[in-house]
Amino acid sequence: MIEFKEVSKCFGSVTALDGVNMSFAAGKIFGLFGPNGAGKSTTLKLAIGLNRPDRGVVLVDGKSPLDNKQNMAFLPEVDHLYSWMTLRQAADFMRSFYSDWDEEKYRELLVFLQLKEEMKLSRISKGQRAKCKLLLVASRQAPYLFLDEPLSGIDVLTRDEIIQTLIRDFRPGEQTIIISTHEIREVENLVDEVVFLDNGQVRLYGDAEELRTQRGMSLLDIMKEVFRNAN
Amino acid sequence: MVFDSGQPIYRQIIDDYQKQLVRGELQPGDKIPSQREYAQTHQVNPNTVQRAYREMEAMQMVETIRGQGTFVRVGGAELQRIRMDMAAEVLEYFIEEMRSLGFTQEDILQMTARALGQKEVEADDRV
Amino acid sequence: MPTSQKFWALYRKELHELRPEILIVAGLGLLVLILLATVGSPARNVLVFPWGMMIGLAGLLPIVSSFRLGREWNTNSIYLLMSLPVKGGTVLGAKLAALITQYLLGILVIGVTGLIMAVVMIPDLSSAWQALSRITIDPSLWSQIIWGLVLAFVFSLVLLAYVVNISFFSQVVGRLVKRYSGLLTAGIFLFTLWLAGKVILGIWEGLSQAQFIDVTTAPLQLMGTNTLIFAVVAAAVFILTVLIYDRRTEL
Repeated sequence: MIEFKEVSKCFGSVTALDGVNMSFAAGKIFGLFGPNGAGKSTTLKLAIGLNRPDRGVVLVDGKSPLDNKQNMAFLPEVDHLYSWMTLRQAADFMRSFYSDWDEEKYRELLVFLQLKEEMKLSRISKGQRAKCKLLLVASRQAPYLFLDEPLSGIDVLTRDEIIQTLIRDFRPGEQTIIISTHEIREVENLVDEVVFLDNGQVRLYGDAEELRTQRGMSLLDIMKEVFRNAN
Repeated sequence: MVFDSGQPIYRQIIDDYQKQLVRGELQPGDKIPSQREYAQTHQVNPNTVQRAYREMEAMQMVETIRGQGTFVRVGGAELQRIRMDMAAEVLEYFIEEMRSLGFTQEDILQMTARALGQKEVEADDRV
Repeated sequence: MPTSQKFWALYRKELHELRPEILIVAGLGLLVLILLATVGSPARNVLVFPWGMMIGLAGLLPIVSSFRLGREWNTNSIYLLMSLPVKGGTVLGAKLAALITQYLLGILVIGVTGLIMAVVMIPDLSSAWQALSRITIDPSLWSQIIWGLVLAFVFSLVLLAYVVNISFFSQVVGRLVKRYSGLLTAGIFLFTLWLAGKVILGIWEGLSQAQFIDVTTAPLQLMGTNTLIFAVVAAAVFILTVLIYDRRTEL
């Protein structure tokens, strides 16, 4: 379980998060939705320990995120891997750090995602790079998986493959996935619970199915309504 | 099957199975896809599928046998009941909509008969 | 996963990124040898100069490479480094180890090249050797010379680590700010170099005042003490850098 208690974070003069309270129960898929600059990326980075809150406290399983890095798999929006590496070298690198590396899953996903180990990360297409990033985080049995805009700028076919990969390996109850994206339509049917962020504050959160029942709308339409009212 | 994101998805899963049953596309004893398979082919959250399957089990529509899979249970009278329930839902929705358009009971009956007659004619024409 | 395995993975990655610089020195060595083979006798002697320059390169290139630390931020691989379950000491330690390896490989190339050059350029090796052995040197002086060379080498290693650690320190501090981090890094590097120098001088003064050393102290002992002092200061800077990286550095 991940908890944010009265968390505020500023970057210079920009307030990314403003006294937010959030909790992410274990074993579910969470959608972190909101417009650009809402604080979605910051939320993920704080949960992993890449940033520290200015105020408030972030707890992962009751401890600091910094003590939990071995349980976390992160897929950032940026290209964070060493571009001179081949996929094989990158996998070798990851293997040395994580005891939850699953070699069988790795082999399976290589085939499923149509990737070759000899691929050099600097020479492949954007879609293939996105799949490589996904492969490296999905080849682990990590309790926490954080995805920051995993679908943006990716062609439709690759998106399908990415979503299928997430579904096929998701371990309900054991694994927690948090997807931050502004492409709500794509992940509509994927998420258990949602958090709508705007300007560093939580506008709405809850169980996806319940929200649909209550409001009789898709999550996308709910978000549009929420932000229309906010303005 | 495409899911309507405006409705709870687990309900749509159950409805879809019910329709298949009522139409005879699924027979008692047939094996339905595992939760994981279903989640993958339809690209939905496995938790949602689990919820749907659990409710179907509670409704005694299906039963899961450990190590073997999930099988259709219902048939006969049970199926008829589900069929009638679904029909009742459709009728209720239909009547409400017609009333909200301002039609009286006689109007509704007349229009329905006419529409049904029309359908018969069309069916005959096709033959 | 054991820390040694993580260290090794990081070390290999660092070494891979240093390959171009290592190859430059190796390439130069090869070039010198090729020239040695193809150029005639009197002209050969000129080759001692490029060979001497290689020594400078072997020492300077690692220091230049140490400033590559900032690249982790520029290429976004800092996202990867900071999300890995690994402590700053291991990350920076692997970088330091790789730079020292780069230096050692450079020295190796220079040594091998120098040896080959000596064998080729000194026409009559045996008479030269005889002439040398005829110079009666006190055996204890011999051992002093050998020890002196060894200590000089060790000191060069410590000096490298010293400068590299100060480079790391200045870069890690520089990256704490978003703007003008390059400027801040340069400033802190020069300042810390100056400050550390002062500290070392201060330690020397303290030692001489406490009469641990005086005019009668053997040169070897002085060299050894100097090496030790530099090593301690280098280690202190490293520890400080690791503390800042682990506690203050964020994306």
